[in-house]
Amino acid sequence: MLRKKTFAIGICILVAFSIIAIFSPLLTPYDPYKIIETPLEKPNKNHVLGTNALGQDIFSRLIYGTRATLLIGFIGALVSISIGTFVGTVSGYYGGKIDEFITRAIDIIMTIPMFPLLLVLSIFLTPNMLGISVLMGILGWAGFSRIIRSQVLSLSEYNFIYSVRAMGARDPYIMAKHILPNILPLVVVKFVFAAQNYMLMGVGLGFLGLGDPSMIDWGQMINCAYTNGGFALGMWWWLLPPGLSIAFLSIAVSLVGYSFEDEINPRLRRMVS
Amino acid sequence: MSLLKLTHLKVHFPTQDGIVKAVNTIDLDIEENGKVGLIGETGCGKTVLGLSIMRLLQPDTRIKGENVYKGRDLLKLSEEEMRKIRGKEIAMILQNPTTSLNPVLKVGDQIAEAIRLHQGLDKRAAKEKVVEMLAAVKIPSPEKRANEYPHEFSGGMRERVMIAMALACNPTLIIADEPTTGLDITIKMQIVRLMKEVTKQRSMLFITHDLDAAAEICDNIAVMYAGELVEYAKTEAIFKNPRHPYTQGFLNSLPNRGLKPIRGMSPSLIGIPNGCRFYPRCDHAEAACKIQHPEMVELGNGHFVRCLQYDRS
Amino acid sequence: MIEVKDLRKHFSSGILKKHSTKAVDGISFLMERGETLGLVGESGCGKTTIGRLLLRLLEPTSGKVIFDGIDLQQLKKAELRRLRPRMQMIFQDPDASLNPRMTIADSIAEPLKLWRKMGKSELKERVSELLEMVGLNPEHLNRYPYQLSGGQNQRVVFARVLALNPDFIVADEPTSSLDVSVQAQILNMMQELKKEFNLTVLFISHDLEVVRHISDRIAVMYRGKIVEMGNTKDVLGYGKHPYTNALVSPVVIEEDALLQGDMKPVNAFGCVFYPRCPFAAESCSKREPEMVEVEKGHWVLCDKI
Ligand SMILES: Nc1ncnc2c1ncn2[C@@H]1O[C@H](COP(=O)(O)OP(=O)(O)OP(=O)(O)O)[C@@H](O)[C@H]1O
Ligand SMILES: Nc1ncnc2c1ncn2[C@@H]1O[C@H](COP(=O)(O)OP(=O)(O)OP(=O)(O)O)[C@@H](O)[C@H]1O
Ligand SMILES: [Mg+2]
Ligand SMILES: [Mg+2]
Repeated sequence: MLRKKTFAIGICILVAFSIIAIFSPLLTPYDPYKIIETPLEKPNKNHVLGTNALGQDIFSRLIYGTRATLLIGFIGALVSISIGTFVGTVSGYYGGKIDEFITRAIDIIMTIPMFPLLLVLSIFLTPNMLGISVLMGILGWAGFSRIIRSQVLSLSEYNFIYSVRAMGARDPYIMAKHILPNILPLVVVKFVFAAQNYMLMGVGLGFLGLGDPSMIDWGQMINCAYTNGGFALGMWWWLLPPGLSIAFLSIAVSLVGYSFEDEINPRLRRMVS
Repeated sequence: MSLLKLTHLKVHFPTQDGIVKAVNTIDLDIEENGKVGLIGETGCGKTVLGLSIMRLLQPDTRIKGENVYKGRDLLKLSEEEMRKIRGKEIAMILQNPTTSLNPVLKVGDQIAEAIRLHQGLDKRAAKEKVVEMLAAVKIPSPEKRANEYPHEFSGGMRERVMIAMALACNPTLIIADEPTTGLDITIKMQIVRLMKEVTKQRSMLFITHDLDAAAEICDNIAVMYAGELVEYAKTEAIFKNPRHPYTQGFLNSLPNRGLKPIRGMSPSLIGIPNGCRFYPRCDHAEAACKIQHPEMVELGNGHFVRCLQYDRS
Repeated sequence: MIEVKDLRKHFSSGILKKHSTKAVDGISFLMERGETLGLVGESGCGKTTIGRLLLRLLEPTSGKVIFDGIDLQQLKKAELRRLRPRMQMIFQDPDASLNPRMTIADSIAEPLKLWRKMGKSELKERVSELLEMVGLNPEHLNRYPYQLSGGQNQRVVFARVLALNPDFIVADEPTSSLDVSVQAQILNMMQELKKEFNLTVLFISHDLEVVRHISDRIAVMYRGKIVEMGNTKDVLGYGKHPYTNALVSPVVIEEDALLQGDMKPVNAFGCVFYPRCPFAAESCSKREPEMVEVEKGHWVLCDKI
């Protein structure tokens, strides 16, 4: 019961954020890129959250920022989960030499600290937002692929997999039709958590000033507020909203993720104990 | 004294083709220290009956009736109270060992989990207990085996792991769903002996297709057909003097009694007709059997039968 | 039909792959077309492993399996795949033999979709035909395996295997989850199929009564080796190997002398059964026994015979 509620709440918040992201142009009172007012305006009738150091409307920027954050999370997760699922499935299903090779490779990849590498690459490549998300995905699939591999490995020992093999089905068919559907719940859960992770990371990059300068994102907004003395001047309306938004979004994603996770936990396990 | 008393228990599953009436009005009493064998055709509802006592069926299942255990109706307990009963008071040995064990966890850890949940032992003590339990079910080199994964066990060994797991928390009532399937005769005899030994001070509902094992372990046997009990009697009476035509036919299909299957197909559990459920396959069927649903009648000496031949009311 | 030559399969476990389990250790036998060979032995002695090796669902450590004149080990992947419909296996534990996320109808139709080009209606017809053959109702078609009982699932497995009209079937405890009446039905059905299609069957079971009933010949296995093999009557009636006798009349065995299914190497050289053998002599622990033919077609692996 409780699980259903948390799930519903999480999903509602996520849907709300997505609607905001999709329809941001319709929801913003001003063009977020345009300089429309005197800078550093306090919140007032025309500008709910005032204006920033350049004289742009903070509220409009906040709304536009949703897009970047959601997209980074989504694309990053999509890339890393796709690669991870593919590699993990192939490795676990075929076993033997292929598996050994992939496992070794992953062991090596896993020793590379990802966030610093991401920072370095972002500095050198100065990618746009799409590039950043893909980059994060490419750097992040290894751990996930390991989890999938172990699942597939044990699944392959199930008689129904042997039985399809005995029937003479081709390997890609078996993987697509019999293995994938059975690991899908896990994949979905991991997708949700990966998305959360990448959103936060995206905000982090933005905060460090390494985001896509042509996009507005919450991290960048905080960074901007910080470097322009918003902190020192106590302009909470500039700092707090992006911070709260990211916290709120992240919690919502967690809610969804955890309730999914509970759902896929094998019911049978509860039975015996 | 009765430990578990099922009264008018019904379990129905709504499916897209209609309501599957898997268990239909079962009344059954398990005494303290009593061992009841439950036998019957595949798909007649034995496992569902066991699972409904444990309340482990999917939430949309419709369960009616009463399951009174030690004076409390299990069907009315909250999920939390029920969780305290599962494993500790009533343990179930599930039918399919392969799918009941988590393939990604070591066997030892899975048993330890059950132990720690209810007994509050620390990790080390739990581990010792695991090895002890594995040894108790005659798994060779238990220390080593505890660190292996389910797929490294043979079918029979997995079955024994399931038994170890159920015994781990010292439950009062054990529901054993075909615990001797897949065991070879020597190990089966050990397991049967083991079950007899460990149930000396316990009660058990023993679901099985293995009539020899049932004869060895149980005091009473209940025969189930299409979701209801058709015969209930002392073990000896069932084997020596079966009264219901189904039980008679059932026993005749044993390999050493002629391997003669009961004719016809097992009945559908959707839209069960009135009248006797066994009627279409029965050699003694009369016109009345098609219309009138027989009630359980006692023939004396604790021997109950559901058949119009004996129903004089 | 089937020729097995010195087949071995060793599983290694542990991190350093130090400990190795000899699940199948040097087995050879022949099976004629249309014959049913019963394979019995204690739990964990390697029966399932043999079954999988025969169909090359596992790669053997060494040895050969020749199916109808074709050496399976020599085959390329695609060639093996094309051969697959002719040999099928019914797996132990029916609940794990079906994909939990596929309906019964899809499961039964799958082999047909893979190998037979059929129209939708033809497919449907064949599926219901198979369903009836194994004694299930059409109401089961749209359900998932967890919505059926263990025995019902086992029948679905049968239907799937029969869908392709194989020549050779490995049946791994096919009736252990069935009640005696359905068991009788299925056994009779297998007998009929055997007569009708000249089916060759390797029948693995713990139930000697069942094996006696269905097999032409019997092989008794102990710790990865076949210790006795011959006609059903000879082996079960006049068994020569001490282990066979222990199986046939298990009452005489006491708890600890019992066959515990441990695969640890007892002794690198001697007879596998030596530690538990009531007739063991000093020499048995030193020398590996050889198969001797005590009567025509009746082989025993024991030096004392
Ligand atoms: N979740 C479900 N939804 C619909 N029908 C179900 C469900 N679970 C079980 N059934 C049906 O209920 C009946 C009883 O199943 P159950 O598993 O209790 O049989 P069983 O007596 O244990 O048989 P077996 O000896 O083969 O294990 C079967 O006909 C089965 O198809
Ligand atoms: N994939 C595996 N990895 C490691 N060990 C294995 C594996 N499969 C089987 N074994 C081991 O090989 C031995 C033989 O197993 P197998 O499943 O063939 O036995 P079985 O004769 O079929 O037994 P049962 O009658 O209990 O099913 C067992 O000791 C088992 O633990
Ligand atoms: Mg059952
Ligand atoms: Mg086996």
